[in-house]
Amino acid sequence: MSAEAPEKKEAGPGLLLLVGVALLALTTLTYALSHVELGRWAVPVALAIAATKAGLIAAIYMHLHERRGSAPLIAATAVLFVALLAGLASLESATRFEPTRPPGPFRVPPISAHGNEPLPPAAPVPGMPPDPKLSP
Amino acid sequence: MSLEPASPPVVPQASHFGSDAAREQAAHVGMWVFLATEVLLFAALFTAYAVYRVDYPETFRAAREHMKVGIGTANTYLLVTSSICVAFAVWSVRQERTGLATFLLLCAVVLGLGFLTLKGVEYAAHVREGALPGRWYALEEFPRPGASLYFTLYFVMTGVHALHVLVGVGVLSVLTVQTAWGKYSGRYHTPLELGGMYWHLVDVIWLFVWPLLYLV
Repeated sequence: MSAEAPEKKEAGPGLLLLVGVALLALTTLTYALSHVELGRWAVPVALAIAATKAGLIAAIYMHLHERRGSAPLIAATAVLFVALLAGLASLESATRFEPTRPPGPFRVPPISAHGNEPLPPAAPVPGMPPDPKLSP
Repeated sequence: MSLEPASPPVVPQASHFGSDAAREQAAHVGMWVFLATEVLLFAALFTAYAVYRVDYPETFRAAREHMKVGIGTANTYLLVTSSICVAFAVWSVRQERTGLATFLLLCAVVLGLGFLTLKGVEYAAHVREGALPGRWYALEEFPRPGASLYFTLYFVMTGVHALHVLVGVGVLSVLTVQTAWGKYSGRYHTPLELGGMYWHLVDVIWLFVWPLLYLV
């Protein structure tokens, strides 16, 4: 651990207020855009606005602009791993053949009120002798 | 076998912690490592959302019709405003204005409690409708494949987030009392910065949860 002395360049009230106004404005923009039919661009646009807000909060409110070296590196690593995990997993899901996708989920029939009741005896198969292990 | 210690005991006031600036840097790095693990926890949930959204695109797009968009949006404004309050509280302490900082932190706590209250109202409405996770799903107006998965993800994502809001409100309450007692000053306020960073992270996560579950 290096004993690096962080150079202090603290955010003034003007910058804090500017970021706050930007956050509220971008929140309003996200809500307004949800009433516009953007089709396949709806999710990327919403995520881009959210990422902008997250960047502003991390840089100014979470003091990353005052830090050098390790703290921004850790933050960037976290973002990279989120992108890798979510990106690659959804890419894999999106490039599957249609029949390999699960059809469900459907509603499961309710379990009986008595809990784990034994299953009814299996119907005898024609042409086969009855299984002595299954008969009571 | 001898029970004598192999090395002499630690000398008190050892100088290996370095300067105040180095300690502050170490505290911030440690907090960022913790926040990165929190991000990875939520990354797993966002990944599950992404995968199932790819599998059931129509269901996930139509599900917002059955969400309380007004409550979700109000909660977004509450969290963003409380983040602004915390940022100004840290600035106030750096300017030695602890009275103002205490007031701002108290505002942030109240806004956080408001978030949790609205979340509770929203959960109650979903329970009444039968929009429940997994096999308890019974929302008759929305009987599509994948709808129960959507509401499972909704309850897990917002539930884990609400748990973080609860912890954040607790942390901010302690910091409010400590600030009011004059524990922090322009010279020493690292715990206030770290607690504030946790609260900001909770806000950042909601900024992604809100559009994905309520808007798009």
